[in-house]
Amino acid sequence: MQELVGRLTALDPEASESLKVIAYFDVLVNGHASMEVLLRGAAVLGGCPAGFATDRIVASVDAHGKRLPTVDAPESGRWMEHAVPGGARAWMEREGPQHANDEMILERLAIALGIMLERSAPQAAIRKAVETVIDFEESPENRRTAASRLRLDPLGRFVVIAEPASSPSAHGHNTVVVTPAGAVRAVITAESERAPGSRAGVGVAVHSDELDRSWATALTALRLTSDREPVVWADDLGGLILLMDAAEARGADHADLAALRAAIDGSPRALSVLEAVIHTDSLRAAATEAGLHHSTIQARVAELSSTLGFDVRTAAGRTRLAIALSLYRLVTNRFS
Amino acid sequence: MSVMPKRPPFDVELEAVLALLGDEIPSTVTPDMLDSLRIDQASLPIAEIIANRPIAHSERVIPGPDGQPDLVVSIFTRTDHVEGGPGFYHIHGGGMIMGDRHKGIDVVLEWVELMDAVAVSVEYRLAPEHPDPAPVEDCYAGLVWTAENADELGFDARRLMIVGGSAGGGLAAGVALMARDRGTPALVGQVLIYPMLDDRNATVSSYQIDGEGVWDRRSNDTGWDALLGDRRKTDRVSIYASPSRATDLSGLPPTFIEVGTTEVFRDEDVAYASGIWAVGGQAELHVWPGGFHGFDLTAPQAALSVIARETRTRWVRRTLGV
Repeated sequence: MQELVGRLTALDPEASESLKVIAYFDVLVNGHASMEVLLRGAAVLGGCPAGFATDRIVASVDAHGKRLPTVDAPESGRWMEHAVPGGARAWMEREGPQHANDEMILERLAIALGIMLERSAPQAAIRKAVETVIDFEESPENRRTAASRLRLDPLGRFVVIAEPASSPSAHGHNTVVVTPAGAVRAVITAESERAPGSRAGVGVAVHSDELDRSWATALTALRLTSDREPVVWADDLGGLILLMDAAEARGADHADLAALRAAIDGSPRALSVLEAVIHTDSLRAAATEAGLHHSTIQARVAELSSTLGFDVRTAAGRTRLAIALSLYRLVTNRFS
Repeated sequence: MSVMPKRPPFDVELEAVLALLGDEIPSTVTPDMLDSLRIDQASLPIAEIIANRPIAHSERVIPGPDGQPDLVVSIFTRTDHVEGGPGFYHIHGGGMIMGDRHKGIDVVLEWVELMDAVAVSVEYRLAPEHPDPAPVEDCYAGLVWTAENADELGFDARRLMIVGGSAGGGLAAGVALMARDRGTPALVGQVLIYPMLDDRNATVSSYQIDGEGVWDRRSNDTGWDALLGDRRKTDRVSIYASPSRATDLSGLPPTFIEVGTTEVFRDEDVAYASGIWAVGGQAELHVWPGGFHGFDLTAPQAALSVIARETRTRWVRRTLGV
């Protein structure tokens, strides 16, 4: 193999030698070669040390392919480097001017390592890609890469569905994310195929570059679900979604919410009465909905209005109550 | 055999090297390729081989077999050599038809450095120009000279080991049998590295490697035909030319045999070890999974090659007590 290095360094990268480098790594990948074997190949072909780092491991070999006792990954940019799909990177420790085949070797190494990573934890790779693609803090470039790893059609329309993590695992690429409302599963589906489970928030439809927005709306929608309304579509929320985002950002601290919590904590039927009031057009219909006598509900509603500090029977009061109830669900819903 | 049995897989690292080297190492060697192969595969100048190593090299012309031409041998020692260490007699490979005394010499150079040993490597006559018994008799003559000149060469004659790879392994086995039958010289061990032992070329492994890998079935025919001509596969072949023909493997020194699973020599090498044990002899056998013929020399950094080399060296040291 020492002779291999000599032959490759002398030769033109355009020539058949590049094909040989490709063939070399193809054989290793097809044979499910380990990370060390891949690194050794690059090191011996290049005649210099080669290394690889993910967020969990760092490994490198010397120019003879022997594993080095590495502790830390070198700083990004110290050596010629290539990104490895999955958030990792590979490098070759070339001192002095680059050799003709270095880029080809490094590129092939990176591809091979990416495949190896995906193979060794395919589920983990999918989960990681989903996490990346719904994360508004990730760069658009990283999200684009993650979207292509999930093979999302760049022209397609997608919807993220948020479900409790305990819901049966879905159709579609998904991952579990820790949110302020607990552990929630994010499921990416094509717009035409969205099929929310029994408790879910359905995000707005987007192209694959805005899945973070669909996820954010899906999560808000899920947080607004209740036993009475177990599936909420973000599309149906209208401007309420802006209010919920603002509430989340500012800590959902409002007198109406405090009053509502006091009312609900004070009486076990309060919540069902109040929900009946905002979901029906008249007190009579609300009474039927809540399973109460008309006069009972009139009395309850009067008490609750007093506790809340506003009249829930007026149109404005019902809107205000609806908003308060949404805030209530936003802060109290917990999923696992 | 009507249907060729499927071969064991190559080790992944080794397979990748084969893909890379492809055209440089032909799987099938035919007689018409000989002239160009002898040129292409000539060893690097010895000065380059030992560059940057604490090794001294000298050459001597020594007597060949009775009535036959003189022989050239290369002698290797450490530059700070102290007398009295072990001696290695090395016979190069090349299918009986190619190669020179520096081919594959890294194997013993490592031991020269490590054990302060003396290594002697012989330039024997090649077939087809010089058919059997020329090669093996040349090699035996070189061994006799080496043993007789132990003091001058600076090694302990009681610790002389013979070593060879491929055709060199076959010739080493043949020479060890000669040494046994002719009564001299004494050998402390023999290291047979994927040795070429059987002119009949009829084992399962000899059929499994055809048109791929290194030194396939047809290459083996080329080598044995060149060495033996029409005597091949008849009862006019001596055990020194084709050691697998020997029915009695008693009285041999401790033997180390290694071979890859995916080369033609696998089965005859395993049989040879079994033949030694059958008569109560000492042998250590290693069959390297996924190894092609000569893998440790072609791909020295591959994990399997490192292990093979270390295993061989450990046996040598244990046997010599160094």
